Amino acid sequence: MATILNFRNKERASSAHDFLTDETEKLSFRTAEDGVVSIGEMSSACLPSPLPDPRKDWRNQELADLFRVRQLLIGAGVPVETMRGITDEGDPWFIYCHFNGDVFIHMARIDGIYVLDSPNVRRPLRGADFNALIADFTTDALPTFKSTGDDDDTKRRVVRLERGGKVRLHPSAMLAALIWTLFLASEELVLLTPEDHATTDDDLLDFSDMIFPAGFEIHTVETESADIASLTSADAAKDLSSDILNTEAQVQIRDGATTGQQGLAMHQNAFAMGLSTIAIAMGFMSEAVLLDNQRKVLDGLKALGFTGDGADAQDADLTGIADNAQDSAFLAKLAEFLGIDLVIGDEQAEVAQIAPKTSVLQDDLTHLGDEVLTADKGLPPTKVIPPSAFQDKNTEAKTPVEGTDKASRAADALTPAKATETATSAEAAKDSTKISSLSEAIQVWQQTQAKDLHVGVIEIKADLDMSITDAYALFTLRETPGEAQSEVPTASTFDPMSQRLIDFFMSKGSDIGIIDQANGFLAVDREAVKSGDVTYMEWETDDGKLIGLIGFASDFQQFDMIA
Amino acid sequence: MLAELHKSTPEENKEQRATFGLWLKALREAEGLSQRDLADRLSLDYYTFISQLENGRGKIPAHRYAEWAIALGQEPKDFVKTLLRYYEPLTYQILFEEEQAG
Repeated sequence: MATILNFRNKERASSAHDFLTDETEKLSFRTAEDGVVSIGEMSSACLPSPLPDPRKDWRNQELADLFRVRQLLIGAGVPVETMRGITDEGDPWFIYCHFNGDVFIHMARIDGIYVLDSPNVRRPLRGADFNALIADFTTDALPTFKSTGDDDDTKRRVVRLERGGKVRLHPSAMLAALIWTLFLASEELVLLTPEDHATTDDDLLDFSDMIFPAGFEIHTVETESADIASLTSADAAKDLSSDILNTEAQVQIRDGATTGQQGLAMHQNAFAMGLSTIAIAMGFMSEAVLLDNQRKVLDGLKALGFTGDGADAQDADLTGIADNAQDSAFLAKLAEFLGIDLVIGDEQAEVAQIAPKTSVLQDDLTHLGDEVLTADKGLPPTKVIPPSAFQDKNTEAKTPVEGTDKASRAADALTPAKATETATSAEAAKDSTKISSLSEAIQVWQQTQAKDLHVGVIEIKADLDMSITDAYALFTLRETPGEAQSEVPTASTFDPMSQRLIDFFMSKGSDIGIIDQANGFLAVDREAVKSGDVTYMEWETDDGKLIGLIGFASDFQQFDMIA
Repeated sequence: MLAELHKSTPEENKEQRATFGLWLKALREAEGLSQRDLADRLSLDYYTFISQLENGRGKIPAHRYAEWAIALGQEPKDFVKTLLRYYEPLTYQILFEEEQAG
């Protein structure tokens, strides 16, 4: 029986019109001794290879984005499994699965076109890149969400990302928000544990049953009475620091892990809220969903005893905060999710009332001026901050860092806006000013010139008049508490990127404020903030410090910091 | 009497599906089809789904069992029986354990 050759269309192959147009042309076949049939005069190199082309696999950046999406989902309290492969033609695919193996997102790149499919879309999404996929979803494929009663797309709050615009989101963040939306819309969400107990439609934030495998035990501790050493035990710290995948949720799902359930709940909700916020801004999700979740978060906080702000937080009333929750909570979560720490600090707050070892540090830092530190006040209490899912590498229990109580921060929304009614803001009055933008939040903070901020029970030092050199020296000195520094690090000791930043600010000569963070600092160009045209950048130095910069986009371009 | 039943672990499920994927791939190759060809026969939106199945992830939709059997040149009844063996091993065991024992 004859062997039929299957001719596939190739991009660089001649078109059908060119094939055998001349009547004198002939197509000959040659049979090799081993029986392999080939086209007579064509070399084997011209024939399609039976093996997939590895060059068609996912690019490194694409893989990074896809795995980042996975991390964000895990951070949102929804551990997922992923898998990828290549077809026989070399087209790559990538899937996100539940723990039970069910696939809820299938992504692929077929002939250069991206495809995303989910049980919760009417048809597979297609686009030339991730942004196009998202655009396809928002314009056409939104299927199963309950109508909010407003079918007019023009009234939907949608953030349009344009070149040179003021809002920039990482592609993986948007993709994660899309996948998060599809996940929430999954009908299987309420059917995962039908044998155990009845689930309701209100259990969107309760992932405990679906996250943790059967037989897993959660050990909870009371946050306020928690032994910090045990919470940051060698095992937990080792787990947290050894692998980028050891997020909070991952630690939770390890058998016998000991951690604060309250902290986990807040950590999950912070990422979930961030993803939901982006999803709403991009038009994926109804606001009703987020508001409902937000109410659940606030109710949960009340039940757990986390209330208000200030040193005497226990008696604070959440209602004032709840009144502003819509805008301020959105911004706080979005800022946190995007890595912009307005209040500083990292996730998973546990207050360590460690006696501050301030004498040596304080002496060394007196050159910064009395405005920064007062003689009768030590440095803020230090505590151990477990690493975040993506960045923080400070996992040593003895490393003194500043941080914030995450639960208090979540309940407190934008603390600077609240803690500035008086100079001594230990019992800051509730600020009823609505903060409608990130720049406005920074402006309010700057205007008040607050030196002492209280978030929960944590006292935070912030100074916007500190020079960038001093700021860098400050957190460098804090790396080695108790050890006298022979000299303050000079500009020549900085790594090249930090040096570039310092040179940039020094040459600019504008009004620069520095916000000291747990693992770095944030420099704010006040002129840019006032103009409202701000761009945010963050990068990591060679020694693991995070430097954030808020300023004019044109300045960044001038110094080749952005394209 | 029915044999003592035990719930499959996730690892067992994965192993079952991986084995099923290999079987599916063998059927396709025996039919001389590429993954794209099979996807075209089944009018699938994207042929990468075939690759996903052959790697042991996902399931053939139940309402299309017969179509898949025909596309792969298999007898639907035998095809579905094999599907059941991989997808629902406990159910398969209940239904066909006497046949297996015999």
